[in-house]
Formats: sequence, structure tokens, C-alpha cells
Amino acid sequence: MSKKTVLIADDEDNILISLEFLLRQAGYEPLIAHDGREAVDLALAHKPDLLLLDVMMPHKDGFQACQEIRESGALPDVPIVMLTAKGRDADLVKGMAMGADEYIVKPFSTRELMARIRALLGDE
Amino acid sequence: MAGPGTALSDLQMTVGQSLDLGLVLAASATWIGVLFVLAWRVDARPARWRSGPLVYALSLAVFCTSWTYYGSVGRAAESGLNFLPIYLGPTLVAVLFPLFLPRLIRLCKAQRINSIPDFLAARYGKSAGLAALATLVGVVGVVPYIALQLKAVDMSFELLTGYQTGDGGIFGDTSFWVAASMAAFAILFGTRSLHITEQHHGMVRVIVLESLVKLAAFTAVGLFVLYAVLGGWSAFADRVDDFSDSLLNIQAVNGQYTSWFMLCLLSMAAILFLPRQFQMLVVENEDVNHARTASWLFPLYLVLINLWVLPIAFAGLMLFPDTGGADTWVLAIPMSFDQTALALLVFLGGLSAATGMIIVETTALATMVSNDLALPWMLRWRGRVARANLGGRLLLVRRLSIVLILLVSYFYVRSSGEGRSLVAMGLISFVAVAHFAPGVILGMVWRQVRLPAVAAGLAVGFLLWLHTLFLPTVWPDYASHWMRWLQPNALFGYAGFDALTHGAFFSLAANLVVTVSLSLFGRPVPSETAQAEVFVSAMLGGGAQQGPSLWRGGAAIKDLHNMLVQVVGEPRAERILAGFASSPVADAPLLQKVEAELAGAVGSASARILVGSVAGDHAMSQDEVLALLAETSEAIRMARALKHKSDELERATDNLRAANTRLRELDRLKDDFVSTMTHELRTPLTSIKAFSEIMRDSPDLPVAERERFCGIVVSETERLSRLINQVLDLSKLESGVGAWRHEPVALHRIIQQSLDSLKAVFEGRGIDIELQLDADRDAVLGDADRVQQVLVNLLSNAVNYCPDAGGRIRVASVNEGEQIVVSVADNGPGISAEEQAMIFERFRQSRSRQGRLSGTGLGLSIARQIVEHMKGRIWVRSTPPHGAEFLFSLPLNEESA
Repeated sequence: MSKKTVLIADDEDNILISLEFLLRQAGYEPLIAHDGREAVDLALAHKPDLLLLDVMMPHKDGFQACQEIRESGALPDVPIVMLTAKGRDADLVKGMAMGADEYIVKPFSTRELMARIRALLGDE
Repeated sequence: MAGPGTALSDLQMTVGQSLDLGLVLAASATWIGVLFVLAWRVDARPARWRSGPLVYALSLAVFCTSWTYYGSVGRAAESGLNFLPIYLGPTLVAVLFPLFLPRLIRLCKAQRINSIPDFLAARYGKSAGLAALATLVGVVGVVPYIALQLKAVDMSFELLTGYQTGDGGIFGDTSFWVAASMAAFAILFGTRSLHITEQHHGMVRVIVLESLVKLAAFTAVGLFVLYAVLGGWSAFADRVDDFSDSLLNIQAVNGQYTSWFMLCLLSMAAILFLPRQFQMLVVENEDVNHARTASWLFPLYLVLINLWVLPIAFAGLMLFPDTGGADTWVLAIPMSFDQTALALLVFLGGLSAATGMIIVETTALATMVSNDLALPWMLRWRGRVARANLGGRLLLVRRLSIVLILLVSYFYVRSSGEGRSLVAMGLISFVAVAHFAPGVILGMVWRQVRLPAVAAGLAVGFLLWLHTLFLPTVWPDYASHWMRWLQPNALFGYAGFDALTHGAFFSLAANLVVTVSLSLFGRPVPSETAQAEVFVSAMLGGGAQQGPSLWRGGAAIKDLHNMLVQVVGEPRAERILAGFASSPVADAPLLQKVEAELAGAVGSASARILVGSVAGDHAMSQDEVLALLAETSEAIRMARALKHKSDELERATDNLRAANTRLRELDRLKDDFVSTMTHELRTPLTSIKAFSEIMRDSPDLPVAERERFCGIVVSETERLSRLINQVLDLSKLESGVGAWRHEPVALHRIIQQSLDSLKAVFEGRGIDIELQLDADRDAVLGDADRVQQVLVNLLSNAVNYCPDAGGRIRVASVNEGEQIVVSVADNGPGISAEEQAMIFERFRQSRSRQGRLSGTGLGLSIARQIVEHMKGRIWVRSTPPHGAEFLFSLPLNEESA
């Protein structure tokens, strides 16, 4: 069985590097996007098993990307996790409304993040 | 001109057949009967006869009396178009009705004014003396006018029946019986109620009906003359040249332009100041809006009734070339054609014109006599105790006045009227009432006019009127008793005017001059000042129509009640005092109310005396009135101050609202800042925490990997501390706290130092530095460290955006006027126009950066703060993808230049 693919989208290189390392370590195949537009394109093209989207990104923010991916219908059941450095309640509600499954506030605990990802992918 | 008496007999010969005396009497009696019934029915159910603007306008046509009906043709035959100015004046005034009449009516209703003497008394401190004088002027002045009506009826009756007046003494005299029946009518319908402000609805309806009948009858004669006598309009037009000298020449006989002008002026005064006109215009008005309709309908009526004057006069000149008596041609023409029915109609129309005038005029005059002459006299001589049934007595006085006025008028006809034409008699009255004009008109527009001035002006004018116009008509050799320069028709030896213009000019000029000059010297007394303020502000500014009360409270309600019962009767007294009966003492507002109510019944001057008789001890003293006035003006001043304050408050509120909006905006900006700050702080923290945890949880991490991750943690920590420093920096700059050095700075040296400090970075990135310092003068005034901060920031940004290979940065300086402009340009991707607009805002980083040296988003914001603090400017030029150029200018230090 091939590795599960996880799409990570963030405009901060260092965060991308850390997430890439963590996912590889856990045995997943990371798919990297630097902004919202790239995230949507990659998601529709590669149909990853999980999406990890930063909220504040250039060109298209995480909410928009999440909404577009959900509305496209191509990935109806894929889990979407939102990452945000803002962490306001209003953002959380908005994220859920857009069809996100999880909402994780930066700075996150790497253990917790990976546990959530594993749980969402059914890899307990 | 031959005396009308002989002329009439001549005319009688010409017209031949006269009507049966019995028929004429029966018709007259029937017509008068119809009027009685109409008036009675209206008065019985006034609510069913609510009058509209039409009724009001037609009631004003009481202006057209026998004078118009018979006299216009006489005047036209005698002096051509000279009959017209009498109607031009009223037309001019009527057109202006909407401008002043509603205000005048409101003022008069509020002040309970029901006659011109009342108006004068009310305006000039409720003076009983002035009211009495004005009443005298009114009564004496209008007597010739009433006499004119009696004479007209008499003349037409004689012509119609061939009955010779004077054959059987007074009781065989037609005009006596006309006078008697008119007295009966006026008594019945003009003096039913004491309260004048309760209007005479029946009387008004009678006048309206009579106005319609006289217009119809006159039009009937006109049409008859035009078609039956003159053979149609074209035939009349063809032949009109034959008589154009006499009929169409406005200067014929005594006509001069001054005379025309004077007649216009007099008739303008007459439409307002004749007692019957004031009665109809103001007292009988039910709705001020009716003035608008009247302003065109009344002039239209005047046009319609004057339309036929020239054709009739023309026919008369044709038919009766050698006889006089043109005043009766309106009647003589149908008679000479044996048109019995038409002749009877004309007679009844003339009767209507005369009776309408007499009824309203005597009613108005009787009110004036009872309220302004009799009552003050009764109160003064009979004292306070003799007020038993005062109301009843007043009505009796009114009725007696009517009889007396008609009796005097009758004797005036007998003694003087015989030799004079209708119009000449009427004009004498016009001059008399015109004497009210200075006091009334000036009083409405000029606060300074005062009682002694108006009284003296009226008295002098009246005496001159008596001398020049009235007495010569009743006393044939009157003129012979006077020396040359006091001759009645040539005062100061000036005989350039006709008698009427002469008398009118001198008496009115004297009145005006005395009124104005005495008003200019001296000040009005306080009680006048209050009324002057009320009148002038009501007429000019539409202000309050009631003045302050000049009574102190304190009179016993019981006394007040007794007095009211005597004057206005029990039910009305109860109504006035309703709600006050519980208190034993009347307060000032109640006394004022009682005075106002009484003024409606007995006039303002008498009302003041009556209230004074009860509350005399409680009238204000001169000093108190002055104090009250001072209070009033103080109140006005305070109201103005209040308005001023309220305006100020409004402005302050606006300012506060603006400040609040600004604060909200600042609050929103602060929220945004906090939110953005949170994001900017959490982002490096996220990396630091993630990599730390990775290294903690992965002990078997390869060394190279571990070193790379440690490097990231260190650089993110540096980013964090840089961010914190810059936030502190920015807040220091924005709050203005912190020391700014103010010293001469050599900018080129600072540029060099900044480049040196970043030398390692440039070399590390392989970036070429191009230096082009063209500025001759580089001395600025400011803080060298801060300037260096700006330069390092701009250089760091440039490094950030330079391409990986072949990066090039150009630093240049140039002098522009009294400024030095420094620029830092890179060959990176450039900045879009949209981003340029906001790049100096906090946390706005260009998205095009390659992300090597991570910026905080605050650098440019700080740079702008520093440059602007040093009175410079910072901006960016970029055309993507050809790099970006940041420039800032600073003013040169003049001392070192």
C-alpha cells in the first residue's frame, strides 16, 4: 500500500520545513504549497488524503482555499485541518463554516498535531 | 352746471311717463322685506350659512354704493375718465391683500379690535381720548357719504315716480323714509348682540345679495344701452369719436394729473379705512385665507361694474344733450324707452347699493360711538357704582347712534346736498377717513410713533378738513369769513389745485408732518411701547399678537364677575371666568383675559377703563411697567443668548461625534494592530517551538539536520527580538517620547556608515553596490542614528528583494532645491502599484519577497515615522518587474549651506 499524501500550505518557509519533516517522519508523503492558490491547484490535481492549511496566506487565504476545495466536490470526505496564528473565536467559527474538520492554533504542539492527523487518517 | 333739482325736472320732462307711486313703493317694500327675511334666516341658523371666500369678496363690494351706481355715469359725463381712479386705488390695494391682510386680521382678532378708532386706541396705549377723537372724525367724516346715499335714493325715486319731494315737509320727503327704514334695518341686524366680534352673518349675506343685484341691474342697463340704444358694439365704436373729447379725455374739466394721483391715493385709503370697509375686511372676516380670493375677485367685480359706465354716459350725452342730472341717467335711459321692468330693476339695484352702504356704515359708526364716545363718558361721569345693566345701555346707545347718524345725514342732504353731485360728496368723506392713514399705517411699521403725535396729527388734519372741505358745503358764504391766505380753497394763497385736491393735500400733509415730527421728538411712554412692539412685530415679522399684561394680580374675582355680568351678561361672564371661580383673587393673566374679552364688546380703550374700575389699585405703576418691559427685553435677550448657546452646543456635539468616529476608527486600528501583532509574534514562535520539539523527540537526528534546525531556531529568535525592538521603536516614535537629537548631520557620511555595517551581508549574497552621490550639499539637521536606521532598513529591504544571482543595489543622492533626495534601488521583482499604496503601513510586506531575511513588516513604517519627523518625505517608485526604488528627501541645513 502506497504512502498517504498530506498537503501542507503555508507562506512561512520555516514552518513548511518543520511540517515536511514531521510528516515524513510519520510515514506520510508531504505535498507543499506556498499560498492558497497553489494549495487549491495541488489538492485538485493530486487528491491528497488530508489537507493542512494556514489561514493567513497570500493570493488566497486558507478559508477561501478550504471553501473552494469543498465546493469543487472532487474531495468530499478528505479531512481539512486549519492552522492559524490569529486564534480568535470568530475565526474558528468561520473555519468550521467553511467545511474544516479541525482548527489548530499556532504555535502548536508537534505531538498533538501529529496525533490529530493520525486520528483523522484512521492510523491509530 | 345747473343745480340738479332743476336738471331733474328737465330730465323728467324728457323721459316722460313715470311709474305708479304705489307700484314703486310696493316693489321697494317687497325688496326690503326679502332682505329682512334673508338676514333673519341667516342669523337664526348661522352654522348652515358658513361663508366661503366668494361671500367675503362680494361683501367687500359694499364699496360700490350709489356713488358707483349712479354717480360714475354722472362723473363720466362731466369729466370723462375721471370716474376711474376711485376704482384703481382699491384695485391696487386688493392685489396686495395677500401680503398684509391676513396679518392685519389676525392682529385685530387677537387684540379684539373692531373699528379704526379701536385700532388707534389699542396701538397707542389704549388711549380713550384718541379713540374718541377718531370716532368724531369717522362720524363727521362719513356723514356726507351717508347723505349721498339718501340723496341718490331720493333722486331716483323722484325720477321714477314723478313725486315731488319737499312738498309735504319732512314726512313727505322720500329720503326721510329711506333714512328711517335703513335705521330700522341697521338696528335690527347690526345691533342684535353687544359683542362685535360675534359677526353679523345675516348682514353680510344681505350685502352679498345686494352686491349681486346691483351688478346684475347695472349690467342689464349696460346691455340694453349697448344693443337697444346704441345699436350694438360696432355702432358704438364708430360713433365714439364724436364724444371722445368729453368722455375719453382724462384731463377734461377739473382733471389734472395731480387730481388723478390724489384720487387714487384717497381711494386706496378709503378701501381700508372707511368704517364699513374695515368692518367687512377685518371684523366680518371668517378665514384669513379668503383674502387671497378677494385679491382678484373684488377687482374683477370693480371692472365688471365699471365696464358699462362709458356706454351709458355716451348714450346719455346723446339722448339728453341739453339737460343735466347725469347722476340719474342710468335710470332715465330705460324710462325714456318705456322699459318699466328694467327701470324698476335699476331702481331696486340703486336701492341695494344705497341700503347696503348705509346698513354697514351706520352699524360700524354706532359701535364706534357707543364704545369710544358714550361708554368712556358714562363710566367717567357715572362712576364705578352705576354699572347696572351696562350691556343693555350700550345696545341702546348703539341704536340711538344709528338713528342720530341717519338723522344728521338727512339734515346734511337737506342743507347742503342739493347743490352737489354725488361724487363730490363722497370724495369729502374719502378725505376724512384718509386721515386715519398716518396713525394706522405708521403705527404698524414704526415703533417710534407715539400717542400725542398721532392725536395732534389727526386733530390738525381734521380741523383743516373741516375748514377746506366740509364747512364750505354746509355754510354757503363760509369762505367770506376768512382772510385771503386762509381761504378754504386757497390756503396760503395757493389756488393751483381743484378744491378737493387742495383740501386733501393740505389737510393730509399737515396730519403727516405733525405725526412724524412729533414722533421724532420725544419717546413713547412704556404702555405704548408694549403695544407698539406687538403691532409692529405682528405686521412686519408675524410675531406674537398679544402684549404683556400690564395688570398686577389681586382684584377680587367677585367684583370682576359683577362687572362682567353688567357688560356682557351672566352666561358670557360665567364662560369667561370658568375655571377661575374657585380662587377669590384674580391674577394678572385673568385680568388680561377679561380685558381682551371686554375689548371685543366695548373696544380696547373702554375695556381698559372697565377693568381699571375693578382692578384699578392693581394696575401697574409707570415704574412697574418699565420694569416689565425691561423684563421682556431681558427675556428676548436671554432667548437670543439661549439660541446662541444651543448653536454652540450643536457645534460641540458635531465635534464630539466626529471625535467619536475618529476614536472608533483608532480603536479598530488598535484591534487590527493587536491581531496582526499576535500573528507576527506567533509565526516565529511556531517555528521555534516546532523545531525544538522535533529535536527533543528525535534524539537520533543526523547532525547536519540538527544544525540546520538549530540555525532556524536561532534566526527565528532573532526575528522575534527584532520585531519586539521595532514595535517598541515604533511606539516610541508615535508617542513622541524619547530623545531626538537635533544636530548637523552629513548625510553622505551616514550613507557610507550604513553600507559598511551591511558589508558582510552584501558580500554573502554577492550583491553589487553602486554609489552615485551627486548632491553637492548633504548637511541636514536631525538625529544621525535615526537617519542611519532608515538607511539600513531600506538597504536590508533591497537585499531581501534582490535576485539570488546578479543582485545589484544602487544608492544615490541629489540636491533638489533646498532638499537632498536619497534613493536606494534594487533589481528585484518590483512592487505592484496596489502594494505601493500601502507598503508604508504597518505589517504590510510585499508578497514578492523571496523570504531570505524575514522582515517584520514594521521597517518601512518606522522609516516613514523618522523621515516625517525630520520634515522630510519618503516614497517608492517601481515598475514591476524592473526592481523597486525607495526615495526619501530631507530639508538641507541652511546654516551650513
